[in-house]
Amino acid sequence: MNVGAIAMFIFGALILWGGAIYFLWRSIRSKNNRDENNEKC
Amino acid sequence: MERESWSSNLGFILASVGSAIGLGNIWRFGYMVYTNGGGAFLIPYIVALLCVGIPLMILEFAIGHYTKKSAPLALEKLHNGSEWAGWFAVISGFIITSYYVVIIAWCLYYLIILLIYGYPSDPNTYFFQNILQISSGVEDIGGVSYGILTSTLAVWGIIALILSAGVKNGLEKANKIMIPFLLFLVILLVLNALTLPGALTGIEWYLTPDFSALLDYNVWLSAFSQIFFSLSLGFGILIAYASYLPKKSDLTINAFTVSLLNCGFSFLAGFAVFGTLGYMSYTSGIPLDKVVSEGIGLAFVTFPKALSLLPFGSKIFGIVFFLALVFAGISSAVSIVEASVSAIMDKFSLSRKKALLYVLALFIIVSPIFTTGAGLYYLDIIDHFASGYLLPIAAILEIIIAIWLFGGDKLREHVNKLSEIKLGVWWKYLAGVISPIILTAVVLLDASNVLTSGYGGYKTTYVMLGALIIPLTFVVSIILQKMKTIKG
Repeated sequence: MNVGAIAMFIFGALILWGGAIYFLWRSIRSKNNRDENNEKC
Repeated sequence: MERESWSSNLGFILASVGSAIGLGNIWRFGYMVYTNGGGAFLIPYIVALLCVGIPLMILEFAIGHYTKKSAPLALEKLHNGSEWAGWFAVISGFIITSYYVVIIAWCLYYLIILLIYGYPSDPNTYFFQNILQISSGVEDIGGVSYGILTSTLAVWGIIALILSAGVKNGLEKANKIMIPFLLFLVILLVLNALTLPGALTGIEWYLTPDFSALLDYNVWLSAFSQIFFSLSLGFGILIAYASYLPKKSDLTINAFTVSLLNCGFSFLAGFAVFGTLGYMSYTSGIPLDKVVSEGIGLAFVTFPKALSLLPFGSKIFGIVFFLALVFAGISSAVSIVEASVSAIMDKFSLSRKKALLYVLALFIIVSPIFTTGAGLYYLDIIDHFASGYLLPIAAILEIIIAIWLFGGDKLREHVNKLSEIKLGVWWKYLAGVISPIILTAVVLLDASNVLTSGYGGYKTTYVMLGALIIPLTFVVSIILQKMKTIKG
């Protein structure tokens, strides 16, 4: 594969996959999203 | 009546991701990248995600969470007399679902045929003549394709089964099964593609950047449209979903998570598509630019052909592909129908089962028209105006009511109280100014194209008839607003 394609793969993977995993992790550990803290409406 | 709620935040995220991930993530995204500068397209795509996609998703989450109502009554609560704008979004979704379910039915029917008989020798003739029984043109309605009609009823049955069980036991449970399984199926397709000769050449075509494309404003508009249409914005779905969230919910982080999971999924699916097409090009000797396609051409003609050439497991991977399409389609369709069901429940204080029954009855009257020989033509014309005009208009109306009339700062304050990532004033400008300008540009550009060159080679009369859904949606929205709201 050419360098440009590899660079865009890394760019896309870092932002889209890396970002998705990072925010999924943050959303799971966010205090506000934890069930025990939630008052049901 | 006590409002239903999600049993966990993960359930809400998976349901929202299920809504966002649809057929387009699999059969459209890769082609968009390829035709808009290859890997360079990722730059405007990510800019669009950050400037329009995520800000608008936060806005829809904020409206639903703040008001605890589905779109029509939510917008009414934000500003008196705005209920019709919420109905406009819900009706747009209703129109889109009436044919979207038929497309899922094509996938289901193809999956069953593949299981029983294997691949057809000529997928093009087989799909259009045998499955769709396509007629000679719009004016020739043709007969009903009973195979597709039965599959459509089956898809409606699945949707009814999921939604009748409610938010927790229906939507949430179904998405907790469908979304991880969908991801697993697509990973299988990617891994299979990567082992094939010629796959890397295909992926090279997918990702090689042409940075000069970034100077073309059409590439930027394509990126913004792709983000807008891919994230289920403008339907009122995310308003309804966020209204089921508990009081304490981190809306900003949830919006980032859902958007990035959706876009990451599209990026991944592109590897399966281009890897497999690269293999097809390698084995058949046809240049890759001659085999690349999108939409139904890719799903029902090119991809089955490519998969049938696999050295082993060709039938299994065909089943995996169509199963992925069915799951991606159903997880989106249930969310759009839920937006209608929750709106009717809120407005008329009906039970879920009754509201669902009324909505399904309407759908079952409308959907069969798309299973006729001319169904594909009707679908094509109506989709152009429903997706291309109704959804952006619905989103612009939401923005005007929530940010301009109600006050972006009040919603920002509400979101910031609950979220670890604090929104600055920039959010109000991205969602309230930049987004409507871009959406208006997308609509006006297309309108000028339709006015000057028509659409899809159809006669002007048919295009005008298709465009009639825009004023009709306005009229029905206002009639629904005039109807008495029954307090539960």
